[in-house]
Amino acid sequence: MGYLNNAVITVDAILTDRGRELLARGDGSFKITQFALSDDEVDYSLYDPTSPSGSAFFGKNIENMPLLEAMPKATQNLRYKLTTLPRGTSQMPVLDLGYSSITLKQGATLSLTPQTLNYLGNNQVFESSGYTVTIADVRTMSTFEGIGVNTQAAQNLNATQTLGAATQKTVVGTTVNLRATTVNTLFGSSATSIVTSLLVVGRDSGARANVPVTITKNTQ
Amino acid sequence: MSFKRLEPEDFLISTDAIVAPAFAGGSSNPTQGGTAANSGISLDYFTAFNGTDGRGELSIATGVKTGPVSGSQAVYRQFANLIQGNADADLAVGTTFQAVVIDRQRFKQSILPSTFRCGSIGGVAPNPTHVATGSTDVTFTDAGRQFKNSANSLFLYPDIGVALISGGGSSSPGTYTPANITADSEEVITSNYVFIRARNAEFNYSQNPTFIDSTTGGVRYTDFITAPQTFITTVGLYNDSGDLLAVAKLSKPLKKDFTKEALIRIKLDF
Repeated sequence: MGYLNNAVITVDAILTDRGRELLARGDGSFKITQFALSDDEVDYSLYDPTSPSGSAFFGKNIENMPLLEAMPKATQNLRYKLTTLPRGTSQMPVLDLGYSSITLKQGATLSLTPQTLNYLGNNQVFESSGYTVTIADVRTMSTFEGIGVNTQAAQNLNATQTLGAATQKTVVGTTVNLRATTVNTLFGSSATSIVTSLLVVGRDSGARANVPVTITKNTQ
Repeated sequence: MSFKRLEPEDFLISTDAIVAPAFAGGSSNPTQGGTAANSGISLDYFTAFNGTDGRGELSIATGVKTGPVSGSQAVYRQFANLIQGNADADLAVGTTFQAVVIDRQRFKQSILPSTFRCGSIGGVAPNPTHVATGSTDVTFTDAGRQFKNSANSLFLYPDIGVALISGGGSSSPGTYTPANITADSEEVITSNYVFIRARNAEFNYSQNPTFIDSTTGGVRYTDFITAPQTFITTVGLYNDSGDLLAVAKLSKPLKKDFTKEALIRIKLDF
């Protein structure tokens, strides 16, 4: 990790861990078809619309900041995406999951259907492309599936098996079904609960929400 | 929308030849101040191990075609097999030679012939110390291209990182002076270029939590309602499944608003 030289505009592109994995598969899944932009690291509170130097300088504190290098971990990049919205938008799309945190007993189930507020003039609350839902530790779930989006790409992603040391899993759907694990060994000898997190991102709006998930051990 | 599809004209594949000094520390000479060390196999083989990263940079071996069975004969037949495709054949360099074998990681894909210089090695000194590299000076062998000097005493096989110097033979490789060898490596890198085009009406709002007023859920500044500004720091390249395959960071944030379009060229090397 280091700061990039900001004397000139350059682009430092690297493959992510996921990109390397798909490239190694050689099955055609490493095919770049779309892009997204983000403003990770930027703090808009540094934008100064009262600068006496004029509007050209409102964002100078942000424009002159040094940026960190790209990181290979896919989940650590593009956390906050830039979105295309109609000019005049005053309310940004936000996700409503219905929960600020989730607590499940072992074996308990939950269906999560995210809604997007302030998107496309409130004419719809469900994004047609669905939502990507990532669980940080899929071992905490005996069922983790996305339903409602039937594109081939979504079905391929939902059919992906988690192998080796990778414990994170991402599914796509308009609804995500969860069932907490019944495996006791994850709790160790004394813990009564285990904690993970669920990241939900609207595939159209880019809106995201992160909720903590707690699995409690059945003691009887 | 957060994702924008790329069009076929947004992709470009280009190959570039990269030339660099071949040896450790960005030097065109091997093993600065080092000496060749016996590899322990035979007096016929020496390897210089004193590169700044501790890795062997080149080996020197003696090849002799005739005489009692020896390691030198094995070396001769080894190169005859590689270069002529026939272990019994005579090499163009003659019946005895000193071989300079450069480590593969040093010469990468090949040695750049015009940069190669070889002075005295193992008691023999080619003259001239460089090979002719004109368009008619190359011939092709089983080991790829072959270049030689005008006296037929120095033969370079850049595609396998080997040079053969006529002479020597009966004794071990002997002395080795780093400054006597100069080489640059050459490799062809295939790069994928992806052109990212953000039109004026695109990507002008952000999901960054600092872009949003946490109390109202609206944009942070009233100016942003009609004239939002964002600052691009990261470009992500995805497949159809939404997997983030590659990521590129700009060296400084790039301002984007409804009056600006951005064109960013992403280079991916494999």
